[in-house]
Amino acid sequence: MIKKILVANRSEIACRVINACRELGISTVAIYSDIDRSASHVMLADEAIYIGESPPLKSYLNMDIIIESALKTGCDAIHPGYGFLSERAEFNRKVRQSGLIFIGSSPESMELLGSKVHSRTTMVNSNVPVIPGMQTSSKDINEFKAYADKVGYPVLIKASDGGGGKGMRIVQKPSELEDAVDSAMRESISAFKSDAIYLEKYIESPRHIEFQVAADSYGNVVYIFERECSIQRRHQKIIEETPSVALSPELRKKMGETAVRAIKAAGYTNLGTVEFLLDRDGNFYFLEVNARIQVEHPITELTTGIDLVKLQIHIANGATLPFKQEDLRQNGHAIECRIYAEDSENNFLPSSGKIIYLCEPVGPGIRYDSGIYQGAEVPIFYDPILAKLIVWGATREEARKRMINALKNNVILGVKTPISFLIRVLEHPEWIAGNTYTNFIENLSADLFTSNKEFRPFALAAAERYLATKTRPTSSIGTKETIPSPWQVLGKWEIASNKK
Amino acid sequence: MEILYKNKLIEIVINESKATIDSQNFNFSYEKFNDNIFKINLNGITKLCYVAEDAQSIYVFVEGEQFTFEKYREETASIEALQAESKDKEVIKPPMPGSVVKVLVELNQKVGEGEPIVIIEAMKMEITLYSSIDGVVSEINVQAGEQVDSDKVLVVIKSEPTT
Repeated sequence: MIKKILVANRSEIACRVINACRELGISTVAIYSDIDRSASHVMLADEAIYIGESPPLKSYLNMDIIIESALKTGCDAIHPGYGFLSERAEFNRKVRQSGLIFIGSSPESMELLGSKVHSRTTMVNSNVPVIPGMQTSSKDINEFKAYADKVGYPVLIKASDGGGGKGMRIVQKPSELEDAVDSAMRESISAFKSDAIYLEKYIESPRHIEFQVAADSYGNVVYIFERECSIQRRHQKIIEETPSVALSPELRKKMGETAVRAIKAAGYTNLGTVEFLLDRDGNFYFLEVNARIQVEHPITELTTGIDLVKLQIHIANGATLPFKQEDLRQNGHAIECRIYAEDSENNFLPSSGKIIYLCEPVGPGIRYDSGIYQGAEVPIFYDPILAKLIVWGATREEARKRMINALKNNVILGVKTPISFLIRVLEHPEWIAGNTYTNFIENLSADLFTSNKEFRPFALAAAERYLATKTRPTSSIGTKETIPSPWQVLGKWEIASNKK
Repeated sequence: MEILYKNKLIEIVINESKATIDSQNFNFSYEKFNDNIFKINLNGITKLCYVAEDAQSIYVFVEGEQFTFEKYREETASIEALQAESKDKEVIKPPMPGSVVKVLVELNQKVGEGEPIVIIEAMKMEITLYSSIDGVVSEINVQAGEQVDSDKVLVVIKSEPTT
């Protein structure tokens, strides 16, 4: 039985894991870098160990020092959280070789799923639908033509070694194919020094639907239903919900059973997430398996009543799944909003600084998974997630209204957050109608990026009253009314990039 | 009182039950709950406002909407001078501390409005800084790989109207 866990992560997920451990009576060890000395997770854990300088490579990605810290403090297991080392098969293997329990699947299954080519082949062999396309790269235009005809237009040309949209071309009709192949190849050579490109079917306006799965070490695998994560910016999810309005009970069962098949094919154990794209006609395609706890796991917890982090520990202890597929039910609707330190008015640029005022929303059906406190610094070195706001409602509409109200009560001052942007998404008629897809934000940007002018006079009057009635001494001479024009413009970098 | 918001100087005059904000007149009342929490009533509509400050800025939160007002610094001679200066040159500074990935311009190079000037990396992301004016690069103070603070002047562009 696991008695003491080192949490190899930081911020909200480290706090989430530590809290689960406290409920289970398991001792916890936090790790921290220079800048995280007084971070939330360090305060919360029973013990905390300093592991190095602030850049991730010198601390949270340093495998040896993390394992050494776990051994030194008498831990019997490591929980990797998400991000950082969570999906690194090498770390997983090293943890096990040192005699510790890695809370997650085997390194072999991680390696299999980490390789795009191998996982695709494994899925095809197990009748898991993948996006139709070429299995290998090619330089032969006739091969591209043949495949495009086979899968049907529009098609997508992709660089095998690429990422970030470079070397990617959407081709709507046959006459555009040859030029697109040429230019994709040129771009791939200049960006990645590789002319390896391939073709696959282009899925227009898909939804991102993922299935939570749980597998014990005795071959029992269940799906714990879906999460729809179509609202994304920079290819990163910001609003997630469950259930998805796009799934009928039949489609849900079919996708869930496919997810279970994918997990079995990979020999995967513990908790994982199988990601799919769902097109407008109800066809779904395997994307990948996330071999870790997901950022958005709380919406599954709120609608199923299962504590997923405790379930991870339960499975890692070698126990069997405490339920069967037919025991699982979805109840009501849950939504998660990710509160990042970022500027939604300026291309979601990360923002760092100090949280100088914080008010966490509370109330029925509201959960706040946080890694911050008033006075905490938001460092520049890591993913700028501050907290996750999760709500439950009996219906989607109740959850939506609850979320909007909770966002309005989530006061964060000192760093920029996308709170007002999230409200505008949730108030958009297309979101209300359930018409969500991965390019939602891009396509509706004209509606979503307009700031609310009606609040401006209130903010100005509040600032004036704040200064005029302040009882605490001011921190700057420049705020006194006797000094003319006591204000300066916002930093010019913002003005510059706004006008582009 | 005058407040500068997004490059615009806004005058606020509050007199008993009247407020003039940016030349607009309102019936005004307010309640103060503590140093940070105010209820502001303008023309019969009430909003709960949260206010806090640090050394550089005043921050206000109104129903999810966030406002940042930058503070005056002593070394800045006057707003007029600042505004005049900002018209004939642009100073490119990073939005946060980070490292310079690439300087995309050379000294004396002509640049147009919206042209990328410097790429910096912070929080594991690449951020491109653009010019907001047409002009000529008159100063380059950094090179690739350098760690920079957010008040570091990376590049200066002198205004040169396109003909």
